[in-house]
Amino acid sequence: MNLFRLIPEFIMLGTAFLLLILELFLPKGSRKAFGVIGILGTVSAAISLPYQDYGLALAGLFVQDQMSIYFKWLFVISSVFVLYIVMLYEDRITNWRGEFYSIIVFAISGMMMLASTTDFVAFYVSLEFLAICLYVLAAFLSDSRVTSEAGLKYLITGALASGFLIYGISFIYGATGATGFAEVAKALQTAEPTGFVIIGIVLMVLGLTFKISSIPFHVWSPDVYQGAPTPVTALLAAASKAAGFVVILRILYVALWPMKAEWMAFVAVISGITLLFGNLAAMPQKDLKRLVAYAGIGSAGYLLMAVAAASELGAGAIMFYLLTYIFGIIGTFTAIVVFHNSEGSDLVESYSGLYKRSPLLAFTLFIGLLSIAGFPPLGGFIAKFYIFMAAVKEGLWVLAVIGALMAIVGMYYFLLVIKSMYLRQPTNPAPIHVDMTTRGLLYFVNAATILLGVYPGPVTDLVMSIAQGVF
Amino acid sequence: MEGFPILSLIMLSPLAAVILLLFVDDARVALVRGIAIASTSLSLALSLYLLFIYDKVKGGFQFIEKIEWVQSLGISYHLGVDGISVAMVLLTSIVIFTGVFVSWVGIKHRIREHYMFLLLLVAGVYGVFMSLDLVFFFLFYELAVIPMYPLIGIWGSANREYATMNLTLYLSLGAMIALLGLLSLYFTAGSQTGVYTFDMLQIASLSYESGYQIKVFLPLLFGFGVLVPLAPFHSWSPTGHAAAPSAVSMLHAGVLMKLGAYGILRAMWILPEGAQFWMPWVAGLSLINIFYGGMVAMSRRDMKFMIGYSSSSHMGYVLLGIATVNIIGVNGAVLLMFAHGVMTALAFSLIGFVYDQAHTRMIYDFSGLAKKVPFVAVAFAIMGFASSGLPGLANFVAELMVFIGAFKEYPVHAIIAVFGIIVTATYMLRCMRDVFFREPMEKWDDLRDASTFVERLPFVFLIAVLLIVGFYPSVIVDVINSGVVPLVNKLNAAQIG
Repeated sequence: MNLFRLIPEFIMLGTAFLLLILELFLPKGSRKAFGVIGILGTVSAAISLPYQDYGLALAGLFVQDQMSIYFKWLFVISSVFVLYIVMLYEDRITNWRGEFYSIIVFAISGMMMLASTTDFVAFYVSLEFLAICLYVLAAFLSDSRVTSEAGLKYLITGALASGFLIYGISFIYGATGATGFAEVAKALQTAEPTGFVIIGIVLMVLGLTFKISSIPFHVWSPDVYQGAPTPVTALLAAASKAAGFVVILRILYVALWPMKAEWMAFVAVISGITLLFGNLAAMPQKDLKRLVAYAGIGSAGYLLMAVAAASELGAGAIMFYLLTYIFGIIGTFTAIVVFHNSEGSDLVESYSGLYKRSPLLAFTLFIGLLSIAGFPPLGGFIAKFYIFMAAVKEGLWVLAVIGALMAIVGMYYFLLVIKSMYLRQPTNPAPIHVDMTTRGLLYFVNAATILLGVYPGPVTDLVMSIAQGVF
Repeated sequence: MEGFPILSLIMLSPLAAVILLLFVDDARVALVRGIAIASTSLSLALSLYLLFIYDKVKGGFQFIEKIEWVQSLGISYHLGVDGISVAMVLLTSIVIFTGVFVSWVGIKHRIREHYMFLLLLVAGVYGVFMSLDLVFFFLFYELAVIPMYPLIGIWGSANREYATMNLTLYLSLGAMIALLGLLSLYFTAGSQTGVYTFDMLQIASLSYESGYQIKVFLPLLFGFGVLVPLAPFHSWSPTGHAAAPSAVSMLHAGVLMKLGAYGILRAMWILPEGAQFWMPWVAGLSLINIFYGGMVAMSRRDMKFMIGYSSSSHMGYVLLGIATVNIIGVNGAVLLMFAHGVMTALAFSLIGFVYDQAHTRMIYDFSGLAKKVPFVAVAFAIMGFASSGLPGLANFVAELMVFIGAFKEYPVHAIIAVFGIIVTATYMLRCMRDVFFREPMEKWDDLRDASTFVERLPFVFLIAVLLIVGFYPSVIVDVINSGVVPLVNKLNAAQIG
């Protein structure tokens, strides 16, 4: 029992409560201060991360290890940027309420807890804590019909997926009599893969697909990405997906590892279908946020490919991919918000000639989207490369070929956006203003994406050494 | 000279220019061109120097540079050249050096960005020819393909958006398929030695069982074959040629296609038994390339389409030469890669020069241009002669070597292939006659000949190279040979075993 290992979470929770209380005192005009306080809180949580020692906390419900720290870094990075995007975004919204900031910070602290769970109970509690925050955020602009619909869809699919999860957990508990991941793994080592266990695994894997927006619980993602407030979309696309995968790593790679033979093929099938669906459905999209949503389903397919490889290389590839993905998503959504503030549209065709109107925004989308598509020499390429390595190593040839073909499809629909921005002439030549802070932020994100592609050595060595510790 | 990173310098020179150009104002066109010319001149000078300091007697990979990049996975920045790469690096330098001047004349808007993409592409091409690490090999390969998208999409002519998407996707598909093969090699080689590395020298030094070689050679052949373009995967190429601006067509036909053939040569070197198994197929397909390409070229009225199809026809000879797997045939193939690169660059630069003024490339729109633009006409004639394989020009030597090699291995193929030359001569001479000779037309009275230094330099330079190699082939064949001999020996040893 060591509460100090939960200090980052406590800092985040404290910040969220502070924001709630300040809401009462600060005058309406000073809402931007909320964002700044949120960012400062996140930064202090980040500062505490390197000083964490490894070990269990709260009677073995949570653990602080290399992997949880890595993922907490991902959440901290996302948090800072998402809060900043909110500050850009809120000016345009009329019925705005200040809880928005604090709920985002709550959500981030939920993700941090999720990254540390070592027990099905703690896992479920953290997951629901996070989920409730996200339900609220997705439906936040309640006077917009699109948003309300998006929020409802998110809530219903989410609740259904939670049902699958808790049902699956109960099966596993029934088979093993344990809720701790390590204990479950120990019990399963000697157990036969009976139908009882298999049902548990299947239900659990299906339930987990909600958070990462893969088949079959992906249906919410296009509508929510399009309808939810854009900063929330960024949060869902970047951090929430990472949270889903850290849980998958913990559950499949630790708790259910002895049943590897049983879930590998199942995950591989889900991955293949997700790859095909996400990428093919992205092709005809006209709205950039929807396009990114379908592409995000495709990305989940790639990440699941690495999960299906069930190896250290696969785990390392997932961690590397998520880092590059977060940078790609943050850059893209910051650009989308700035563009939307100026033009009021998210349609791909409205981006025509953007290179003339704002070279920086166009370049950011160029780098961000192409990194997600996996063009060299950007970070996303290296990430995809590692995933293919993991798949080929385990001999998942069918999946690898599907992945290769879908990578081409991915290039196609992202190139359509690039085409609109760079090959077409603008209908309205007025330049789009980007303020200094945002400029700096975009430069940073682009530099990070390029650097991860040009010099991936240190991060790769880091994730590979973390991956060795997972098993 | 020990430790002087000449290869990195050649490759990084255009890359440095790209970074420099990021900070140059769009309006300062002279500075933009100056940077492009300076960087490509440096690369050209160093490539020429490389040709002379490469130790032909010693052979093998020289000027090796190696820096760890990702230690945990065995990836390193690893450069080195053998005789084949030296010739290809020189070809790249020649084509981009002249391409910069051609773009000076032809590109009128977004000049800075044009040069940035052009130089980025060239850095990728250099990288492929120099890489001894499979990851970098692939990375540079993609880097050479992707700038084609904006280059054709922004500065291209008719139908450019379709052409550029088609080209990018086709080539990336090839690259992805090849990547899966390369990854499989990495793991198979690693499981043999216990040390997982993408080091090409290491991977090539091992031997694999023949069943595996045959299986893995196929994705590599397909992946690189798409870029050659090996029939029937060539449809991206002529549309791409036709839509691209001149300098890009020059690079595309002159250099990019050679990346594919080069990739196949490297795959043969790594998987000799797989290569022996598939080479008869390649020889057969090469005939389709030669004749299908030639016949379509004959039927085209758009000069760029004609040269585009003629390129895939000529690449058929290259494939035939490679398929012979004997010393003279492969030597001929590599020399033809070089000669065809120079020749086709000349062709596209000339057509581009006329097109920029006349805004049409249809053969039937022209007549009697020789009276108006005598310099261009003479240059075009020399190009046509080279293309048809007339003695005295580089292509003759190369094609002769390919045929000699082919007669030894595939006499029937060789006899059929010889007739391909007649096809080439037919459409080349007919095009020359229709466009440059016969009665002059009034509407072309205003056509201006290449008269300034900048306009003439690329033509003169390329013709000079064709003539020098035509009359004194050993200046480059000796170097190529030093790379071909060990390759062919390894392949033949595999055949016996």
